[in-house]
Amino acid sequence: MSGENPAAKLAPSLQAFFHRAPCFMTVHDREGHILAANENFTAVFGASLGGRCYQVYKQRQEPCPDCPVEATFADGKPHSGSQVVTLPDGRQMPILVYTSPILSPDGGVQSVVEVSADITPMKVLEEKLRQNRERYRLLFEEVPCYISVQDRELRIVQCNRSFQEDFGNYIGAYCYEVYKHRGEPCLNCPVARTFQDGQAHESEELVVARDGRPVNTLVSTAPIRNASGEIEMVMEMSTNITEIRQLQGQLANLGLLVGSVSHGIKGLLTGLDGGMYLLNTGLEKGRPERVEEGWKMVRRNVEQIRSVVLDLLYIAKEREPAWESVSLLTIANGAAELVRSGMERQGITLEVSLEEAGNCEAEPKSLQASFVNLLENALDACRIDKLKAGHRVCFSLKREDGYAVAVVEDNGIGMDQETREKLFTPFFSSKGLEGTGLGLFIAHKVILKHGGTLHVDSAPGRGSRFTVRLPMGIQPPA
Amino acid sequence: MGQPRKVMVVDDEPDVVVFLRTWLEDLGYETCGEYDADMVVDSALREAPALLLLDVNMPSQSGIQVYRKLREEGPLQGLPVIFITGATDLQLFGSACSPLPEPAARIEKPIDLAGLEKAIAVALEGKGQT
Repeated sequence: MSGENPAAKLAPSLQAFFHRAPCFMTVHDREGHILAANENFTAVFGASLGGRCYQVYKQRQEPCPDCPVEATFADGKPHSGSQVVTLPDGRQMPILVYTSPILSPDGGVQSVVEVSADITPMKVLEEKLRQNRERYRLLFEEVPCYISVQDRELRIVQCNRSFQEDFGNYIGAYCYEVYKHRGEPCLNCPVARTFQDGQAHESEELVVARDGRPVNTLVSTAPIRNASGEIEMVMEMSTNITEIRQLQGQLANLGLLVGSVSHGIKGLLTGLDGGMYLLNTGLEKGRPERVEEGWKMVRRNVEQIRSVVLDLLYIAKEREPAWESVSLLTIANGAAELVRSGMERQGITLEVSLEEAGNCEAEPKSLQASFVNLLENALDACRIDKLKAGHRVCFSLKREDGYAVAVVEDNGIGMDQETREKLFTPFFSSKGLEGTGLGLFIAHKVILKHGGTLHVDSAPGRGSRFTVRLPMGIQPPA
Repeated sequence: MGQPRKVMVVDDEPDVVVFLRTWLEDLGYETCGEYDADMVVDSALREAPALLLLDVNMPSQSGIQVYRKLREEGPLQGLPVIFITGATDLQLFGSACSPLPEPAARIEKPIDLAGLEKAIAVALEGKGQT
């Protein structure tokens, strides 16, 4: 230990400052001996004059590897750093250390003053800040929406996990490239508007995920300002509302369905009323031909109401078909009989050429309803067509390469490409308010369920040909 | 009713035409029928009915299109028309009709025969006065 207590040489006012300063102040010699210590230091670490700083501060037996006092002795300059010291009761205390040289008259470093401040409150704040940051990071990453932050050029500066999963990690890319595969900014871009007016903006956008799937998003933007209040970035938060939009579409379709079905049922009820009127008045007036006509009318309309209800049941819920081993010839004959009188009344020739095609596992009612739908569709195509003098519908069934092949062919109005493409879409009808738009949709669905295919060949003015191929001996799905 | 008045029934559904014609004939009207919307004007010119019962929803063109044509053609301009419709959306029906003169009546399917009978009588009476 070299030198005497330097604090003793201080003027009284400085001594008061030395002792009462709200920090630990010590003076050390080259070997680390404590030459002076203020009251604050003594109050915490006890009277330590003459002891080595590393023993007192850290209860170590050798100097600390990053000792700032040693550094100041070495280069004569002030040093600083944070350390953790151990209190006599074993608690740890984080401190911020500043050292400064006390020079001897010859300019050498005679001793070093060390000022240390307890930074426990700062550390607590730091920890809170870290936790907050982590919480915000989690929120940013895990929130169930896409978040990206864009700069003024609309380049993505940051994006969250959800965004990266669906659109990829394209930091630095333009948002319109990533979101919409566009070469230029979108019209009415909400991010650009927020940069302009500093306000939050909302919009609905249809974007494309990296797997090509379209995603409906509801976008909100918010400005991110720097310390001086200028907008540096804009945050874009997009909620995926694809499922909501799909649900809305289904609800709209349901509305269409209710409308078209109620319209259809009203027409059939009128036919039923007609049948009952003919029956009643035929009986009253004793006119058997009227009774017969009325009875036929009632049966026809009841049959059609049944078919509408079956159609409705078919689309109302997915259900497993009630499989039976049935003769396709019987089913096809039944379908032909159901439409024959309607064809005759419209002056349309029905040519039937049905061969024995064997049995298959099928749901007879659904399959027959599908054939009826195809035949009625052909009938309508002929009714609408005004260009030809005579109309005919050909219905054939035969066995071919292990398949039962049923063909419904008409020389009616025919279909253009657009109609052909939408043919099996629910609620699509080329017959205006007349069609429910369900017949071919359900026929197609039923045929697919039977493991078959439905192929359409048609041209405007020429007519249409629907080919059903059903695998024979199909086993019902397990 | 002295001379029987002729009523023409237009509906693409044959059962409805048979029903209404039978009913009208039982009431003492002379009738004729047409299933094809495209043929209505020609048939009406040929048959010269005193009243037309016209279905709104038909496959090739709607009853409203037919009605528009009837109002354009000279000899049929004054022919009273009663619309018979299964359409649920009467608002749509109203707006589609709006630039045209009102039809004599609109009757919804299924048909209230008493209501239709009254509407026919009023329509024919109105025609008699003009």
